[in-house]
Amino acid sequence: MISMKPNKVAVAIIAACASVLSAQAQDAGALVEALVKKGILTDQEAEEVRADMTRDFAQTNAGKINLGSSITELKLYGDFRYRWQYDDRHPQVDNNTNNSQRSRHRFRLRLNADVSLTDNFNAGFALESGQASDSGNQTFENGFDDYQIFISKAFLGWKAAEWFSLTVGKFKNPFYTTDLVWDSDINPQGAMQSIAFHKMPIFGGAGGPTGDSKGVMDPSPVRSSPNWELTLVAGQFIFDDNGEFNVDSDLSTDAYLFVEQLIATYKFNSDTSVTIAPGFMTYTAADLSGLTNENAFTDAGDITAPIPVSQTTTTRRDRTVVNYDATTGAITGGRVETRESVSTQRSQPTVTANGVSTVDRQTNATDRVISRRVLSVAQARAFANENGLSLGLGGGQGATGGAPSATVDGDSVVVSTTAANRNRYGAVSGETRQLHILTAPGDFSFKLAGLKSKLYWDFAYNLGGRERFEDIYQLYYGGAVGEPRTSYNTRDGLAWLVGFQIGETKKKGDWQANFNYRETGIASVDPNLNDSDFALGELNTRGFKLSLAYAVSDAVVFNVTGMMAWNLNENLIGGRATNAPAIAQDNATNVLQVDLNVKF
Amino acid sequence: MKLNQILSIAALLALTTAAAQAGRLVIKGSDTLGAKLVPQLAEAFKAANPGTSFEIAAEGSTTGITALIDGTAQIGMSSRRAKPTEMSAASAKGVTMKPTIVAYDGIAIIVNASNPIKSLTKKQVEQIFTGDVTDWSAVGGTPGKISIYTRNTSSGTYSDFKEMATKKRDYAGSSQKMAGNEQIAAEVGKNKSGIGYVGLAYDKAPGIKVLPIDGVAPSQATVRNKSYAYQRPTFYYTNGDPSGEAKAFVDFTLSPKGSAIVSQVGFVPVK
Repeated sequence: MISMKPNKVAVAIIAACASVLSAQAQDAGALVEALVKKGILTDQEAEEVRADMTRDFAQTNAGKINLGSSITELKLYGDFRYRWQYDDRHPQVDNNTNNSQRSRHRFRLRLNADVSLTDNFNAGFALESGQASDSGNQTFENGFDDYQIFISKAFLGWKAAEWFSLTVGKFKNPFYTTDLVWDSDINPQGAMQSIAFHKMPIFGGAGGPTGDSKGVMDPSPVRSSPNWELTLVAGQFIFDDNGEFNVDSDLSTDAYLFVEQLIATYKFNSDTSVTIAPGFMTYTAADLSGLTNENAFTDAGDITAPIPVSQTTTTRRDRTVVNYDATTGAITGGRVETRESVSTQRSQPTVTANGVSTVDRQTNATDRVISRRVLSVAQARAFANENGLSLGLGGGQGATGGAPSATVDGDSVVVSTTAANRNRYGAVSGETRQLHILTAPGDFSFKLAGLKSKLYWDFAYNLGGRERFEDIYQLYYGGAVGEPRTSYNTRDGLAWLVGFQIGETKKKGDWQANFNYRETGIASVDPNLNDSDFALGELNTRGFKLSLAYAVSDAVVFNVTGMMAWNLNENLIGGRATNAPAIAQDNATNVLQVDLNVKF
Repeated sequence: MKLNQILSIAALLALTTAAAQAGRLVIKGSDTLGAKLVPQLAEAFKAANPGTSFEIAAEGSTTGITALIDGTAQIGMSSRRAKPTEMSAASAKGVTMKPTIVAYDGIAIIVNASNPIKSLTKKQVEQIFTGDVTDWSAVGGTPGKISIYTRNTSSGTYSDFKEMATKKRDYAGSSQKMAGNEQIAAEVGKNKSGIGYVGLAYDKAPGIKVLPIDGVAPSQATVRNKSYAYQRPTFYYTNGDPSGEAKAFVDFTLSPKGSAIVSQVGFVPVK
């Protein structure tokens, strides 16, 4: 029989435990310490055991990583997606073929690193294929070229209290939303704050102090989970940077996006809940350039391209001359304004042999000048009506000062010409102007046949929709002279979506189906933020999105998505709808995506 | 032949080459051990073993462990335990890091002799060295900015003290990093606002005084009974069980004669 001294036995047992539990070497270290204190192990024996444990631990993945002492936790994760995509487009404006099809093999790679730091700080970064904000896709092309990798996230966060957190940098979208308004690939940049009211001590939440110096929150009293949650999220995002020394305000103003959202959830039970999340988003008016997202609305150029109005001179026997001139736009002190003036002149009519009056501007003219600063065509019309004037507007974009034409009509001569008008915002207009959007996404979650399901919706209404329609997208004047092709309709400033999702793909064998219908008015949401897949990011669309997914393994998901979209307003031609950078150039857009996703 | 075996043979050859130089012992690493204790032990060892020569480099525990892994030293002196990454690197080169406790040491908190502060708590030490507290008045002293002196990052004492005193929090950004214990003692001795830490063997420098922590002053007795807050073992690291000259020197260090020298220098002997 082999006999061992008690301490030898202890060493053997600990060594065995350590080899099994090498990942928990530090826990075993505490055990060694305790055995030393009890005199079972000598210090030297303990050191040898520690060295063995450390050596074993060093062979594990964790043991080979040396992290800074300020890091309390590191999480590495990512995903890879192989996609085959087919696009079928039918442009509004004839492009000779009047349709286009394209298929592509693409991939997306994302690598994330999140760290928890001492003193309740956290930080992280992500690397991603594809530079576009709304897509990490990289199309396989150019022989066997290698591809670039980009920084898609880089942020620092601070959790000042259980209920309040602050993050700066470029980070995951903090808002409750759908792809109607925000493409899920977009990581906003700037600053965000989150206030979770339900976690405040005053409302019975944990709240409490910010935790100890090691970044560990102080334990809070055990409370039953509230069946409601209310969180205010605010974002101040830097959308684009402009040079402050540019003379024009929109070229010199940085594009900032401000978003506020109140997210309210009520839980009926563990499976059933309802969430509503009203919010508001607004931009500073600025010029955009250099964006690479799908269907970018950027570098639209100034809006000096003349938008004609007609100048009409009507002469009657009783001498009235009306001159409507909407050409006088001016930039004053960096502020763009449009000034219109209307004047009347009195003159003696000259009766000709055929009895038709003509104007003699040189004699007996009694001028009466009426002028008023107006800020819209509607105001100009009202002004004309007040003064008994006729006002004709029209002319195709780009037409300037056409040759006068005259017609004889009873006792009047009507002389018409066209003259350049300017957009109300003057020579240069920012692509972020007139986006002041109310949003209201939500969902009703429940279990159906034992599967997680939800009915979800989204709603967005642009309070500046009419102005964006008429002046930023230059759509009001899109028709022939004196006959506008289209006018703003409420649905042009409105976007909405309703959908249903059932199932989830968390583990092998799981499946999920997702279906939604949406309508997106051309002036409703920012074309630089909306889903880049549905209608390939175009606006003025309506249609369906259907997605089916199956988990081939716990980490691999096979997914097929089909999207069919067509025009919401079928006659929206001209302006920025179909002229570059066009945001609604297709009559119909069909997209099919077949994906293989791997998470790691 | 497996790669590990090849590496082992290569490491063995390297060590053999180093050791083959007629009783020459190469020892590298900790300044805490290598500045005073090991040279005195080496002198005594040489007196008893004529013909043995030593090469001692005291540039920090990290350098000692690295040298042992690289095969450029037979003994790596260290005032801290080897890290998992160092163990991993050693294993990759076929080196088995074996620690031998050669002495215990206390890390004394020292201030300028003219400083009216008489003692500190562990919490106050943490606050001072991490920069949470920057003025002496916050810990009961005369108002004035605190000047912090620490060891440099290759020092085992640097990381040991961080683990024992600051809960692994980083030192204050304003702290000044010194190459050795003697330099810290000298700077604190000159600076009335200074505070630093040194091993027990260095706490008798002129112009400084040692502060009790939570009422316990560092001494051989309080380190031995582990009642002092900042005490630790110090090590010789060898590649597996030591052999040849290295074994003889390790044995000498742990012998009664060696222990006497350990005690005389200011450390606490193992036996």
